[in-house]
Amino acid sequence: MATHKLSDKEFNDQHALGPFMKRILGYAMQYPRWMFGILFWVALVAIADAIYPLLMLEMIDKAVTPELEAYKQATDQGLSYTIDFYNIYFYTGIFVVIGIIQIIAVYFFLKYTGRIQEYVMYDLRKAMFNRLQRLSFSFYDRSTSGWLLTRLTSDTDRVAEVISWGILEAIWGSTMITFCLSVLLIYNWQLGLIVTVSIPIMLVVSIKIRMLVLQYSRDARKTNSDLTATYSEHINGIVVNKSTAQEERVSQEFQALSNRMRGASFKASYYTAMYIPVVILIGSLAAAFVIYFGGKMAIAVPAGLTIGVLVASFDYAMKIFIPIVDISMFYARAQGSLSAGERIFSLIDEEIDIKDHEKATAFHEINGHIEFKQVQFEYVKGHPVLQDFNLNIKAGQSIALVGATGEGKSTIANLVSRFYEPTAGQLLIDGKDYQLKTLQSLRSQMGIVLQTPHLFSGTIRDNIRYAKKDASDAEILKALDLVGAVEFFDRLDEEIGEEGGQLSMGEKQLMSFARAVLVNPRIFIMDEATSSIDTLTEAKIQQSIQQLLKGRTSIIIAHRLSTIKNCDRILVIQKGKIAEDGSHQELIKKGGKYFELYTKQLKKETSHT
Amino acid sequence: MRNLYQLFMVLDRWKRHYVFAGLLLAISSIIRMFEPKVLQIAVDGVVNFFHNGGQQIKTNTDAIAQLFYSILPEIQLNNLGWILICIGILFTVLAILQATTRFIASIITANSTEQAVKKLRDRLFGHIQALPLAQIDKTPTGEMIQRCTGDIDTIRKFIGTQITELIRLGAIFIGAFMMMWIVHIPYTLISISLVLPIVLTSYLFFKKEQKVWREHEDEQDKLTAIIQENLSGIRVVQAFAQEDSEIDRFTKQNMAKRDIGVRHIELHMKFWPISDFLVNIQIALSLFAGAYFSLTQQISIGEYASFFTYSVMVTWPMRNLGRIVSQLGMASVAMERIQQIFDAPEEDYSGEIDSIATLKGEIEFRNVSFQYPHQEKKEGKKETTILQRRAALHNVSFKIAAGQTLAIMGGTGAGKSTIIVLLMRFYEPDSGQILLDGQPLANYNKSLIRSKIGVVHQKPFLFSTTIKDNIAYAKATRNGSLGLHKSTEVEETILLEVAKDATVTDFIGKMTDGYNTVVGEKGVTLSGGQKQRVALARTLLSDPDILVLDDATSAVDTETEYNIQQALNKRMHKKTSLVIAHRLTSVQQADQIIVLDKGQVVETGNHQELLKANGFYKSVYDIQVKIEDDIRN
Repeated sequence: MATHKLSDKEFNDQHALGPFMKRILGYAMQYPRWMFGILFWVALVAIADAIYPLLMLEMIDKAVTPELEAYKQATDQGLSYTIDFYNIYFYTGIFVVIGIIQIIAVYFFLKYTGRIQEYVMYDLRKAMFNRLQRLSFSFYDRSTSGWLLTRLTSDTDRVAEVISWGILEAIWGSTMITFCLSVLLIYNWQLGLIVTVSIPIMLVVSIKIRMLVLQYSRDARKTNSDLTATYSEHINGIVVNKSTAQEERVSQEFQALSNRMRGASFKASYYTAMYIPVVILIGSLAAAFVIYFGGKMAIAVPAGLTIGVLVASFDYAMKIFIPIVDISMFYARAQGSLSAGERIFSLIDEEIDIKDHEKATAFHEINGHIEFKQVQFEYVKGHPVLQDFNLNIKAGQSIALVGATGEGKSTIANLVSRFYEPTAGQLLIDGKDYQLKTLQSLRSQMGIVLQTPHLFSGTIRDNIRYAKKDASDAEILKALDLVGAVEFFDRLDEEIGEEGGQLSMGEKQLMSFARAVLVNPRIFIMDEATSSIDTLTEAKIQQSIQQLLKGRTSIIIAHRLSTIKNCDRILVIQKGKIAEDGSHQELIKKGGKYFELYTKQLKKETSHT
Repeated sequence: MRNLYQLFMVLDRWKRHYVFAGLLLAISSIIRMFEPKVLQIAVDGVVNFFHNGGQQIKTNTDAIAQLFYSILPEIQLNNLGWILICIGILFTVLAILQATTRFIASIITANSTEQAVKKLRDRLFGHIQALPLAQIDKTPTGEMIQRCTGDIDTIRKFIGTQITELIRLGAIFIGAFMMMWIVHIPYTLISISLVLPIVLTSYLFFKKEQKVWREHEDEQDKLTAIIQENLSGIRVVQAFAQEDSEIDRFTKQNMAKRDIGVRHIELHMKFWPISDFLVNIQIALSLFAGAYFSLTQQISIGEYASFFTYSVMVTWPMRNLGRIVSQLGMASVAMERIQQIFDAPEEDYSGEIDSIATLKGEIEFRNVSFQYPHQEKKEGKKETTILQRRAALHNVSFKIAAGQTLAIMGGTGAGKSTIIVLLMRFYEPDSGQILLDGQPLANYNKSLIRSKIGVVHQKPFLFSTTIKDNIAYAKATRNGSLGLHKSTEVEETILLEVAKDATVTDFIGKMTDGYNTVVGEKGVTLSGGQKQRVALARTLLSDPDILVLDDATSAVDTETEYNIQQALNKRMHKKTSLVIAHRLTSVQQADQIIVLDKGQVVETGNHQELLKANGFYKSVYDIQVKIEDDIRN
């Protein structure tokens, strides 16, 4: 039905980075105090980090060297000289003060960055989850659950990392560079210039290599998802492997895939390995020039610079690569999470196609009169499943829909449930267009049993009262009794396991019947609910269905004649049209399509007895 | 400690490579340590030399400095510019050497890491495949997959970056320490005086980190489980208008995950400032001491400059210790989680009889009793699962002669599937004996039994590959490009034959790519009945000596079922079959029918006999007849 599936896109577009950062920054800026906190404290740490070489310079030039010279002069002249330790104490004191400021800053930036990370993750997940609850079936038709899960887990982690630790790297790196360069340029602009020139070179090289790493990491990630899929398949399907004694072969073959992963992963590591040495090399070249020119200046007459400035410049030249690494790291992180961000935001922005109208009012007690008025519906544009469809179901009537797969039976049921909405025409419930009513008030008065009875982990009790959390045990027992599932009476506390894996299909279906009945629905829908149950269960349900249908409007889709025979009306659906309409007796008499279907089915069901 | 050992063992036979890479890195780091020396020469040997009017300043130059001096041309007042160029070149050469060694070391590390991790992955996968089914049932699949992927990746990151980092930092520490030691011993001791407290705090941090991280992973797992369950049941959620209560449930766990995340960061908030404080105090101490020693002329200004660089270098490892330790904490938690899988013993396949051409197919159950084992819940409480309370067998005895068909009937949970589970030796009976061709089943090699007995399940598992490869699954070849599911060796005619018998041919025409249609999550999803038919074809292709159908045609319509039965009658003509079914049509032609109730055989006989017996079988028969009568009126 749905042809195009949502699929992963890779984002390498440079221009996508801006809007992405802006959007994600919006999330972080919901906590402005923390964001400014990061900005302030990280900048402070960066300055403190940058100040160390400076302090060293000051200490040598202002405290150690003058004292040393004075001492030398004094001894040369044969005088005794008492060394004044005041300046040394002073600088050591400053050092300690900066150290203390730094640890306070570290404390706070960790606090704020960590919080931003966790809170943004929380907010993103919340936004996505809330959206997922409201999205209609047509969305789920084209997306797989594994694909969606990734968005709420690893994609969220990546994006939140960019806005927390990534931002931190960027702030630290740029503050550090700015500060170092300013200081250098102030002290000695020639040496400063050498270091300045090395920066753009390092940046360009950094980003080039980082992008290569990113590209290969993407390849590796793709292989990794194959790997994960293989794990998942062969753990889920291990019974098959064991039953056919294929464990060893599969393990052997896994090694081939695992080896491909190794190769892809190594390629990314190769460029990572190259990165730091190359950047350090560039920094070292700058440092070599600093030694040469600095040395030259120091031995010029008059001396162009002090030894302290030379030492500090050298130090800066050797260390300037560190902030560059951080900045390029931020860039690579941001680039690398672009597609994750795109996936997240496209989910958050996914339009909710079925939602309450602004002026929607609630249904009170629904009577159950359903009317399709020239309804048109298409899953794919241009391929209508229903066209000019008219159907009037009186309150309390039970309707059976029969016909081959793909003729539109489920579509009719899904339209009534408002899992989909008509693309044209109207669907009236109790004479009112249901699009003008709230979803909640409709669905809470409906009981729906689907072909695959999905149950949730928890106890039997939890599952039956799923739609009415505060239902008493008496109500639960009544519902179970109504569907003829007395065997569950003393088993309410049993845990049913992951997706009810411990139960048989028949038991699951019985529970899903009870679950639907518990809320005493006004409209009851069964979509192929009896197709995969055994004879005994069928017999049980058979009796209870009569009970169930009493006093409510019902729409039943089924293949089994036993299930549909007693409905008030049977509709034969063909190509989205009602081919025949009448009671079992009437249609049999008529000798048309239903008769044909019925006799064929009857022959099948009884021929070998 | 055990986790750390296991983590170390992951390095496997590449341990030597890590040591080699570590040594290279050490060399690289030592070269990096020479670089400040070069500056010292420029300062002392050139600048101060110049300012002293061509007089060497008397300093106790160490061996390295002397080595550099000897490489350089003799320093004179008139060639200082040239000397500076030479110093620059020397420095550049050192830098290139340093970069190259570091690059090579990283490559070796990366290569060894990928190899070691590949081996770990392969070992884990193989181990899981060899685990007894009972073990696999215990762990939720999502959790298992998380361990195989996420946790392995954590380990990969750790051994790929931190092990050589540890060696490198160790080398820097020792190297810098020695350089200082050569120059001035008291100064050196002052420069490392705070190492012990720093190591101690790091260790405490490591312990805490492990604990908090474990909790973090647990909360994360729970959150993922909730999302997963919600997504797979979203249609039910919406059908019952339970979106809000689902959001509540999710929000609670989302919050729990956020809180543990914040707690994790709070641990770091406490540790890092303390560690940084200690490191800073250490640096301040060196700074102060260095100034004192140079003022008292125990060391030169140049030495002070390089000494200070060394003393900062000595603090690097201390500063990084916390980071390594934190990563080590996470990696050891990951290792622990993986180790839990490894700790579960593999299934023992062995049996005296490990090769046999064909089974005759005589099966006998003699007073077999069995109960599914208890499951240990996390709190150590024993949990009685539904499976365990029911589906047990009590004193079950029956016998199928070779070539006959046995049908098993009974309500849900009567123990029908348990019989098959025991026959396939996924579990062993608690008491009693199962005989195959007169030999105790336990004497047979498990692989042998399983390859000779073909089972088709009610809800068969298909792999997300083509229909053709799914059918050919058990006959796939061992090689192939990716080779996961290759069917090249299966002859087309045989494939078509089994496809026809399993009535796959009936619907294959409607598939977009015929037999090459990919089934599964991203491909076409087959209906329950279609899956059952493909699974049947898969089993038929392996040409089993004994065929077991566990409600295997429950989802196909009656006409198709009839056709399948006809084909099977021909195919299994002289072979033993075991059929579990609910519909009478599927069982009434069996040579023998047994009816199970609450794990006990309550009726035995053929169709006619059982009708006469007027028991469970008769009541099912009556129900069916009544349903049919109802339909007919």
